[in-house]
Amino acid sequence: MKPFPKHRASTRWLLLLLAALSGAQALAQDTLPHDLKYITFPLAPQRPWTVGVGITATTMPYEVTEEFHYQVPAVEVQALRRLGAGFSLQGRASLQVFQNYFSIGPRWSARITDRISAGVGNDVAFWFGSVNVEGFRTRATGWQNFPNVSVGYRFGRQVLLTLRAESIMTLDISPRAGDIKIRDDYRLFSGSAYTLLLEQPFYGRNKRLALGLRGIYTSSFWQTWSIFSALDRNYFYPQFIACLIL
Amino acid sequence: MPYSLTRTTFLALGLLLLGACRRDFDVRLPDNRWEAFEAPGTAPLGASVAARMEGVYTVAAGSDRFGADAVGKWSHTAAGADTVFHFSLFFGKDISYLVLEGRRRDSTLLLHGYWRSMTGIETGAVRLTVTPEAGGRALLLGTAIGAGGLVLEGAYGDGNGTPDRPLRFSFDRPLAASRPLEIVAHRGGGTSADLLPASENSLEILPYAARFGATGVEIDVRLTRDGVPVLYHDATLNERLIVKNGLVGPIENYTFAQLDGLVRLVRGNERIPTLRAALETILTRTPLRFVWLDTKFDAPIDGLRALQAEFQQRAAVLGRPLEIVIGIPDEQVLERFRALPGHRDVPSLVELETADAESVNARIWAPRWTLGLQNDKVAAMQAQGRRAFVWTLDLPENVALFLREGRFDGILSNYPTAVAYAHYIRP
Amino acid sequence: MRTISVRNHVTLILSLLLSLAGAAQDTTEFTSKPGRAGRYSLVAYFNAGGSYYSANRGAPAYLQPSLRRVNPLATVRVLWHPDRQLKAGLESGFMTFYSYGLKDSLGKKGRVSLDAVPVLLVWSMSVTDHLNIFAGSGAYFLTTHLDYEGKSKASRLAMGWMAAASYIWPLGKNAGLGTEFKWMYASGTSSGVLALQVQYVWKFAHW
Repeated sequence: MKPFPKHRASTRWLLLLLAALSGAQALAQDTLPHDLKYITFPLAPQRPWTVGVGITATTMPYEVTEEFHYQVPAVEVQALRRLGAGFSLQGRASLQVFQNYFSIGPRWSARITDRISAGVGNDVAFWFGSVNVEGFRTRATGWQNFPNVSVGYRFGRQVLLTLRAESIMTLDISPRAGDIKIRDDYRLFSGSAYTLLLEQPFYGRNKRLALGLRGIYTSSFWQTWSIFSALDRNYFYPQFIACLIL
Repeated sequence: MPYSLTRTTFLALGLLLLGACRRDFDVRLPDNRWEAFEAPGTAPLGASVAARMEGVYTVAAGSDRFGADAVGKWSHTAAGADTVFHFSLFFGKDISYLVLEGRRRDSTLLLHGYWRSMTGIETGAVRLTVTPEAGGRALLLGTAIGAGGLVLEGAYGDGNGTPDRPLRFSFDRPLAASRPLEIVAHRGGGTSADLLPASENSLEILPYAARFGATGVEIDVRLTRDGVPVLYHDATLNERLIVKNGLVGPIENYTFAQLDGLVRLVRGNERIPTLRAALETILTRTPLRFVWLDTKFDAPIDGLRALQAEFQQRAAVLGRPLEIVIGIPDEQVLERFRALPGHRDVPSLVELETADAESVNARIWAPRWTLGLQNDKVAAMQAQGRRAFVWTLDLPENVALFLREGRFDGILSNYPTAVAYAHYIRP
Repeated sequence: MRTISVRNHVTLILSLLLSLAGAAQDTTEFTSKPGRAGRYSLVAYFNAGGSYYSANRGAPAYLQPSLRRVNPLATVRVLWHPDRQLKAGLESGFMTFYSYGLKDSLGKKGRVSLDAVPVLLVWSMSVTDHLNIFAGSGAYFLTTHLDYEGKSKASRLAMGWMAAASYIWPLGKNAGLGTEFKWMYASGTSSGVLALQVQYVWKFAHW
């Protein structure tokens, strides 16, 4: 057994902290591995297709969901298609059986330095939901649009960090209850979302994991359609994202 | 790379911590005094003057904020000689409304209060005046008022600021004598999430219900561990409803003494009230004529029935119209209700099927709005001498639709002001 | 007398941990860094220490509270260590978020304690050979123990998170002794603690 490395440990802690604060990350200057897999990182993909599956869990605010202050996990399926000339197409499905969300959108991205890249994109989303239990026969569809910008930074050879900001535009919400059609009020510009996401090696030869947090400030979060709230205030919906990139 | 990852981790932790911080909205009644309103020589308005102000108004100034027209209704909070009369105006835009108190100086009327938009969190002070020529004299003399015969003029402001934006209402017509409608305020007046001046299911919210245009209230009844019926909605104590104090879990796990001593409600530090205290407040302080006891516990309901009978009797002695119904939301409560002696004569409201309403001779059948208009079933219930109420209608579009195409006798809503507007504005 | 007894216990536990570590001792030191490709292992983390209740609400002024912010915290975590940086696993344990003595408006005294059993899905990465970071989300099974006008106990489930960093000194090939700094948060009641724990790490299976 090694002697208790008290002094060395405290020195290392100090060094770590200093390094972290001073932003000294310029270790390796190696280039991008040719087989690197990612979906969110704003860089035109080298692979024709990249697919990921995972979950997203969103915490609902008390103000909207009342006593059910819960995280609702959704099965997440993501895909990235290379289009060429810096363009790619990103698709996403968020599935909860009784309510499901699909989005697709082009993205143009460019490498700014060896490690930093950036992208702009626009996702169009369609969602639908249906609840048919005793006393609750409702369904709804909605269209949303998410213009977005992303900045990516590559740590070392494999770890990709993406910061992404989105504007949330609600184009349509059409709920129906029983035999009636309801016109639901919504604002076109109904909030914004900010994502911090890491894509990194996980296991096996090239299985990677995306882990991220998305802070959504919105008056119109799609999973709350069945509450039929009249409130027009932006609430905070923190979202945890974990996605295995296959 | 390791150092960079550490930084990333710090970033991620930062975001997590950010996520942990809930963004709290709040709305408080504007703190705005009007010296002229409190000056010596002014006197409170009486019930008859307030009643003559009821009607449909045109919004001649301020329509960008409140919309084109308004419904004016009066109400009161009884306190013997200190009874306060309120005049409220309900609008079609953003579920907004005004609540005003009135005083007079000679033949000039002064109306002072606040406005609020329920879709957002906007609020502010309001000051209005009715000059003798603009209807003040006619109101005091009791002479008939026609279109344009009464003009309320003044200003509204934002927050605690001095009212500086012009506001003018012109009387258009009396309220339509359309079919009667019970406007039932949810949870005693509205939910705590709507940032009203008092917490849902508190004694303090009950006097607000009539100011919001409600004719009745729905209140949620649970039993404490020692069997005391109290008002509380959720299945557990939580920060949506109570000031955080370390107490979690079902209210049924605590005694009334524990709840009364330790729990305060979130909007105004109110105590969780007993049902008895709530019925006392409704009977003696408000003009409300309908109470829906939403039974949220699965235990014998004899205590609930006893309180219902006691307060019905006291209302009858006072000659005051008050209907108290026991709400039956599910099969368990239905079974408990059937166990009551002479249950078919006990006033009740059934949320289940029409056949269930028939089986216990319920006065009211109350389906959830998501089942639709159900005009045939409503008509069938009415043909049996029952009434039909719908819950919980909040979206103004829905309220308008159910009033236009539905046949319900009552609407339960978190926004009674929106129901009152849509109901009384109809020609 | 009490001090000696506590010291005896600590000595006993340490001896036990060291003997476990000794049994697993080898020439290579324990590290959470990924090993050869295709090497997988399961690692248990036994943590015990104290937590500090970091929220400023929870014991309202009208109850004239005497708040106890520092409370014991014991957790167990099992992580799957694959041949890459990222590890995943589960964490549970027992903790007291906070407790306080109270006095009501009539002067009657009482005591409230908010305890929890977390069950969290945890992700981890090793930053250096010895430094690891952890983040997780999941459920906290909360229980209130109340002693005021009689005793009461009530429970509920709340969602929440965890984030931690630990420094592990190797005790041979399959074990290590560490200190962990941790943040645990139950969002359903917005209760959070910062904790410092002693950690015994044991790689109990590998293939």
